[in-house]
Amino acid sequence: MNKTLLIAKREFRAAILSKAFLISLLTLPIMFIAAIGLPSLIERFKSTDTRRIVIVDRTPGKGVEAAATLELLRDREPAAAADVEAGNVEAGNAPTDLRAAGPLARLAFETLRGSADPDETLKLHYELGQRVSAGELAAFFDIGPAALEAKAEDPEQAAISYFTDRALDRELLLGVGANLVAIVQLQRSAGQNPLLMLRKERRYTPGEIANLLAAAAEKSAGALVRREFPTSDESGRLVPGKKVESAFKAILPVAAALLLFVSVLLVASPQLQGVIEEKMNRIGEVLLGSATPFQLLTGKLLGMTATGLVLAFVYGGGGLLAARHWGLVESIGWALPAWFLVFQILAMLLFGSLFIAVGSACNDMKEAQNLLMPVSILLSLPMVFLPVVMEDPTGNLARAVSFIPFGTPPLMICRLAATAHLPIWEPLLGVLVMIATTIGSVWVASRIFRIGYLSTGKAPSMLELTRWIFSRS
Amino acid sequence: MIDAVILSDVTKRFGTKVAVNSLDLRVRAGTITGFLGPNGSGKTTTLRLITRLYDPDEGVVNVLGSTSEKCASDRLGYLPEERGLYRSMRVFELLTFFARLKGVRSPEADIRDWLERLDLADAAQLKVEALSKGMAQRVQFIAAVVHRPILVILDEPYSGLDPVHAAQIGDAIRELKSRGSTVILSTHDMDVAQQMCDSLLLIHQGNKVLDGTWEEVRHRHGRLTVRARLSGLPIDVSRLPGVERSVDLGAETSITMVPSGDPQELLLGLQQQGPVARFELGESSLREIFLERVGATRSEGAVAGVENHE
Repeated sequence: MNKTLLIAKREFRAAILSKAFLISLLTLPIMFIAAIGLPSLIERFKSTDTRRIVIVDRTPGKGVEAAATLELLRDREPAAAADVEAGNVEAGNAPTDLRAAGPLARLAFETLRGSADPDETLKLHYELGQRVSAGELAAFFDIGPAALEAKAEDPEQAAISYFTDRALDRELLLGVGANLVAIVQLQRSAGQNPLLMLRKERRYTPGEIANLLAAAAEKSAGALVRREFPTSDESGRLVPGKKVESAFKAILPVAAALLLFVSVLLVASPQLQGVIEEKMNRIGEVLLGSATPFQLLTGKLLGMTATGLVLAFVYGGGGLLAARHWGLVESIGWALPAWFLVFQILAMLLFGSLFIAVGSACNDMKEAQNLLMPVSILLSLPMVFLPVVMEDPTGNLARAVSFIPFGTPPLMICRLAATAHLPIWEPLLGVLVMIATTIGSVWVASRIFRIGYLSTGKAPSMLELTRWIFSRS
Repeated sequence: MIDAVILSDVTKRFGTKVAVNSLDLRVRAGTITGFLGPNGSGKTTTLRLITRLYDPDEGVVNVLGSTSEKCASDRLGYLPEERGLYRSMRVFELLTFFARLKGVRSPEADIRDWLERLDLADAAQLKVEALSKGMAQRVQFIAAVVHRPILVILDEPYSGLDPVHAAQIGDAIRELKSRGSTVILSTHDMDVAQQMCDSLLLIHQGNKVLDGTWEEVRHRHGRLTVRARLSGLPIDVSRLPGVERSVDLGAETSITMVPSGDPQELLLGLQQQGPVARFELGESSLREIFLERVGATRSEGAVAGVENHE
């Protein structure tokens, strides 16, 4: 046992002090931060020039007053509001402070009244297209003459078209397009509003539309909230269910399963390389002169498991701290981290033993990649079932796939994170399944290891590996 | 215990290749035994059988009185032919790890002594990857002996060493013997084997070709040799009485005599051919016996390889 622990200690120290481990430790947080921070960083480097948009309004009467309404909406965006208040916005121009602004922030609008005549419209569109090509305009929109009719005979005449030379333009689609559709819809509904009867034309003013859109977008009222089921306390009194952060609740099962998958992969791969290096440098001969193959294998596995736990503690602990910071820690509870540790350890031992066995049978990484293929499939295939398991964590399919040994750790963790109503026997049975599989896997690995670790020449085929497993010596 | 190692009718195969064939061998306790043989002869396989890294396909391997198949033994020290060191570890840390793995609880003082003795004290905190070939070989030697093993197996311990450090290692090996350890020394250096080893074993193509003390080997397989310089025209000496074979060295001729050959008759025969400027009588060296036993054609290539290796 002492020799096993000695080997485990060396493996652990070598792993956590290696550059590869530090890089892998930093990679995920950096990617996470990059995913969150990069878009806003890129936003800062975007051009802040004002882009002019023309809206051709061909509806009858005074039209829908789209440009005036869009300008109002733009000036109410949080970043622009301060500018407007300070009087920095000249008539028809975008606000000057555009950082972290909404999609309308750097747009200026101009309305052109058009007619229903197709030839005139075509000519107007052609001229505007020329202005877009010349860079004078960013794009132009066309509100069809029948856009305000409740039931237009020709849908083409009721359409809102837009013309741009950009492949994808978030500002046009989200900022102008979506708002323009809402403006036209409200103006159409104005015809049914009896309160507008006294007006010359039954239309909302730009201010009214801006107010209506703001009220509809208000998130604090009438929002959809997910809650836990009510529970009863010790005195039998019913306690209302807590509010659940639904987005967090949706991410948690995937994050837990991925963390388990990634930590196994990040630790097992360098271990495989290490075994190949030991083999090639003849360190194995010296080690096997001092310890049995089983002591060596288990020592490596323990060292590797400890390394994986460090990784999980850093990532998982970081996640828990973040959850606590945002007041979400109660959504996680303490059972989930405990189960995570159990399944993490079992997954490390299971896959670690296979990675080490593959490393011991090969002479270089190229050979190892071929033999590693089945192990990689066993490791990654369960991830295919994550969406199914998340959607219906207590369903029969989720239950069945989470008891298939190699998939048990990520899928059971996913189920535990996705629902609080998993019967306790299910994760317990999962642990038993995993213990049995891990014992089998370590036995197979030790049979391969004792022959492969000292063998030279070309890598064995699957048939040869099978012979190694069942051979006497 | 008279014999530290006994191999009885041991055979080891790798697929269809027989690496060691029905080998019988005894290594007396407290001696230095030289393992000789050309490359690929089965030496390293035999050493791995003794260290129990390999199990024999047939026969019995008895090491330090045990036939147990458990390969690990804290009483055994092994220096492999190719260095088996973790490149990213520091020298002192690495030696401590190997010593503890052999069951030594506090090896620090012994490690310091050995480092001092082999001129490595300044390298204690260096990483192995920063060491020269010779330094790494000395570190590997310390790793093999720091736990004071009863049986020490050294596969090419002089590889990569300069004469000064080779002499240090030679002294250390003799000291191990004087302390009572049994040393098995695998080497291609015939001079070292002849001078240092109490007994010799020559393996070729998995078979034992000869064994015994140097005196026994010389008595059984040695020949009288003559180094002759003739003043006259070149002559064919192989037809002269008592000559087994001869090699033309240019100015001189090296002659190996048959076991019953009489040098006086040879000298007479040479003088009849012309004036003899030099006639020096000697005995076969281990190198010559090696060449003869392994077979001239096969061994020339092997020895060339040996010399390159050295």
